[in-house]
Amino acid sequence: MRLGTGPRLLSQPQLPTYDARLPFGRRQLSTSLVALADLLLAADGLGIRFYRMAAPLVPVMTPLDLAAFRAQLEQCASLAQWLGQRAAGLGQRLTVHPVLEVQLGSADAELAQRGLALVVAWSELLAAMDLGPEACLVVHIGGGADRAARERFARRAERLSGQALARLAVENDELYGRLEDGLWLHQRLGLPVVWDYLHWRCLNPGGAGAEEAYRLVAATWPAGVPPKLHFSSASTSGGGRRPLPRRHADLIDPFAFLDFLALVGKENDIMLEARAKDLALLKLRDDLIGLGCQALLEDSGAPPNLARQPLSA
Amino acid sequence: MRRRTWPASLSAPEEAQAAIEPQTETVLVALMNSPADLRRAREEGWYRIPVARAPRPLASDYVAFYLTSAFAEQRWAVRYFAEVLRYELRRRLELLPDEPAHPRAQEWYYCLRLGPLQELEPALPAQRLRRFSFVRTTMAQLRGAADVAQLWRGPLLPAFAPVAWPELG
Repeated sequence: MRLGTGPRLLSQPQLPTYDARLPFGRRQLSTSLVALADLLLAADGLGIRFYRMAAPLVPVMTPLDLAAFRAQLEQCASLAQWLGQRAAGLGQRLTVHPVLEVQLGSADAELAQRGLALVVAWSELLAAMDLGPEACLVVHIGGGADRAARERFARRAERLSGQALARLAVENDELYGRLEDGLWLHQRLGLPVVWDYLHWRCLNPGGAGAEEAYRLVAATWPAGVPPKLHFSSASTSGGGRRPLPRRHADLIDPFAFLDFLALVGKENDIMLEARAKDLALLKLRDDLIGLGCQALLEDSGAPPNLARQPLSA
Repeated sequence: MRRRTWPASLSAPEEAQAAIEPQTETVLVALMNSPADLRRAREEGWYRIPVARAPRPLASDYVAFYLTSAFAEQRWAVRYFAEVLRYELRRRLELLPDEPAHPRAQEWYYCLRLGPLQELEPALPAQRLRRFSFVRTTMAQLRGAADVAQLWRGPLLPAFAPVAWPELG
């Protein structure tokens, strides 16, 4: 089990997550890859082996950007391959989650085309980095409440190359994209399903049990690739604001996390979606140690002699 | 998942991205101890940094050059800078094919492809400091400093932990 976070590491605020220069034409994939190298070393120093890359790292916003992107990728091919080897050497699993950018189920054909271009570009980058099948693009179905969204998603995704399709994974969301829709897309396209536990608690119209949901999700992942799960705590404390149960909290509730682990076991990689990013991950690790659960962290990337982190003070 | 929408005040995703990830222009001040390397930066538009000794973080918008005593009357000052257009990874021998017998000929280097070399006006002197490897700062800080030593002050500074990539087995 690896615990993941990203793209920004809040403990390392000086590290950019991608080349954000303006205008857009100044952006260079190679600069973003160098920034990624800096981030991976920093993550390794924190004992984090599961990292979510920044979606804008790939400078593609429309299909028209693809040609320029490919030229950039060719220019920095050796850098991309080297970085992929280093990431593998560090035991890092890399994923990306272009939430807004890829909405293949959208009724807006232009938006969907932009998403397809980004999927293609990312798949070419991940291939250039020689990353294994565990490196995936996690997307939502998109398309809002329209029940035809998953069909549109499937039709568009079927037009992708095998290389691009193999990098896609679909995640249930908290408003419209049900877990059942993700499983339907698995049946149709073979996509693995990322189970977002908080989203599922917010949107589970079938009322299926969690054990059954996890069993179905885990079976969508190829042999040898740990299922990717999302875990977060809901922001229900209010703090002077209206409680928002669908909103991620700053930190992770360690007791809820332990319950979740008891449900899913340790054969998964768990992306922690907390607003405090790596600080939340470190705090959770610290909390688990404080609760006598250090054994759970054995394969998480945390240093074996991990002492309590000062964050708990 | 964060469900973001473009703020109404922004007209395009491009601008919204900038709002999400505000960017200050960063500068990597590097040591220049060879007139030949300065010529390469000016005429050929590149500068190299050995991967094994690269600063962390490395990614910067600009690189500026502090000239050492090898530059006679121009020495001991930051006098030039250039935009970093992109990064490549090359073995030293690829970059300097005329030096095949160099002991680091097979080592990997970051090759920074540079825009036009520009003069820093006025040059930034170092009254007491003489040798360093790299300083990461901002363009505003570089232009506002009166001495190189002042570049060590500021919010971007504490990033130079000597971290190296582990060798692959």
